[in-house]
Formats: sequence, C-alpha cells, structure tokens
Amino acid sequence: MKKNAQLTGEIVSWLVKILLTVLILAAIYAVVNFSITEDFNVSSTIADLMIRRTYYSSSCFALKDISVEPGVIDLNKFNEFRLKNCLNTEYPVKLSLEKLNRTISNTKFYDEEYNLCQIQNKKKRCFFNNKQYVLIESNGFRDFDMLNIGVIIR
Amino acid sequence: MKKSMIVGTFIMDFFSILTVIAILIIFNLLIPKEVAYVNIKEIKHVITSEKVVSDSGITLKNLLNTRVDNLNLYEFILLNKNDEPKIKLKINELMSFICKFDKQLLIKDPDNICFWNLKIISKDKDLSIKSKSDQVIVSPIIDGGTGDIIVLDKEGNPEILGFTGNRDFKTRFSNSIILPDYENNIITIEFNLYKGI
Repeated sequence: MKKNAQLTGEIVSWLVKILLTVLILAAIYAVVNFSITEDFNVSSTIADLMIRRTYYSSSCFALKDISVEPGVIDLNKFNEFRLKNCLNTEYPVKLSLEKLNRTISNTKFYDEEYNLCQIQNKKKRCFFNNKQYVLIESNGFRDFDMLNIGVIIR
Repeated sequence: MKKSMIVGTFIMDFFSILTVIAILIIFNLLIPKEVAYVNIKEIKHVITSEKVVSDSGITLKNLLNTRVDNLNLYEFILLNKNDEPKIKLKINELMSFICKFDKQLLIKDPDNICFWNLKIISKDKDLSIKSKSDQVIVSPIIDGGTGDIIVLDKEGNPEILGFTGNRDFKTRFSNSIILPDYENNIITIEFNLYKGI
C-alpha cells in the first residue's frame, strides 16, 4: 500500500517535471524563433521615398530652370504619364493639388485599393499620405498650393 | 526526505520559469518598436520608425518665396518691418492654409492636427507669430475624441496633456534660416511645426 502511494507520487512528480520542461523548451524556442525571424517593416520608408521623389526630382514634377527647385511644381509636368514614368512602381499613388483641384493617379483602381487597405488589419498599415506646401509654376506665373500625396503599399 | 526533494524540484522549476519570463522581457525590450520620427535617436530606430512626414525645410523655403503683393514674402517682411500687424496678418493668412486646427479635426482626423510658430529675429527687435488658437483646447471623450488636452504656451509651443499621460506630436520640426536684409544685417527666421497626435 505504502509502495503504491510512493509510486503514484513519483509518477505525478515526473509528469509535472515533464510538463514544465516542455513549457520551458517551448518558451525558449519561441524566443529564439521570434528574434531570428523578426521582419523589419520598411513600408513607410518606401512610401516616404516615393512621396519625396514627386516634389524633389525633376524627373517627376520639380521645376528645372537653371537648377532643380525642390518643392516647386512645374504644372506642365503634372500629368499621369509622367507620374507613371518617374516613380515606375506598381504601388498605387495618387497626387492632388488642393487649390487647383487637380488629381492624378498611376492607376485607375486607386480608390478600390484604398478601400481594401482601409479594411485590412490596422497593425499592417498600408496607406501612407502626406501634405506638402508647394509652389506651383505655370508659364512664368507662380502661386502656392497644397500637394496631397497618397501611397498604398500592400 | 522525499517530500523535501519534491518541494526543492518544484522551487527549481519555478525559478526556471521565472528565468524564461525574464529572458522574454529582455528580448522584448531589446527589439526596437516603431518610434515617432521626432524620437529617433539611434540607428536601430531608423529601421522601424514611422517616416512619412511633412518636410518643414521645404515648407519654410516655399513660405518665404510665396508671392505676396507682387513680392515674395521675405521681401514683404523687409519692406513692412515697421508694420508688425500687417506682417502678422499676412503670415497668419498663409499659415492657415498650410497648418489647420479645429476641435472637429482633433476628433475626426488627429493625424492632421497642426500647430506652428514663427520668429523673426533682427538686430533691432524680435517678432513672434503663432497659431491663432491660443487657448486651452479640450477634446471631449463623449464626442469620440481621445480626451487629450492641448495647451499652448506664450511662445506658441503646444503641449499634449494626454488622457494617459503626456505625449509628443508625431511630427515636430524646427527649422531656421539666416538671410541678409537690404542693409546687409542678419535676419534669422525660426519656424516650428507640430503635426499629428
């Protein structure tokens, strides 16, 4: 009787030990796995580079007179053909000039992509936008405007 | 004897679990989380930080080059240096287009909340211009707001007294530019922009 009780006690103690060992191993595995397979989310960097390129580069919309004037938009360049060529990206991009009420995009499906992005998991941010105060130059005449840029990275 | 051994083993296992928890916490602290642009201090933050922000350098340059009464704003400031209200009015007019704030924005679109202040420092005097909202602003939680309170100091620098502690703006920029006036005296223009909560 005493021997039986001793045996049961030992079995229980071993079961607990095995359970704890498995738990500890699982935790160590999770920690190591998490640190090794950590992904860096560079979506915001990609979006930021694209956004800045639109008003910094003369290949996009920045005015080029004698030198390039970042932040000054050449209105003659502000069209969809140029947007597609200068960014050369599959990510949907939309630009609009608030005061002039002119909007261009590199895809016809920007709004659909935007709606899809809005219902996506909030932790996986996919919509990036920026508002930049710019000057507009058209045929020697200069005015100010607000350039809204939206980029969807999915 | 047997009992004490079991108790000992349990204690050891308990401490093993504690060690694992400690390791987890340390790893969690070491792995950089997403940080606001303004808080970037180390290279590891650069990889994961939120980068899409307004370019205040371009904003200041464009602001000073904006056409005002057939002049650019900087020339307008120089020519009207003795008429402070006129300068303030014109800058406020332009800045209200660039940087907007109202209570509805605080509730519906807190990312685009914006405050600013601008200082023109010359040899003779300083001129300080700031966002028009110079009172304490409260975002009521019942309206779906965050419960944040934004307070502006005398200089026009805003501070967020958050519902769960003080917070910083997502974007906080400080730019200054030194330019000569018509008599070759130095004029410093300081521009601060605070955006998004």
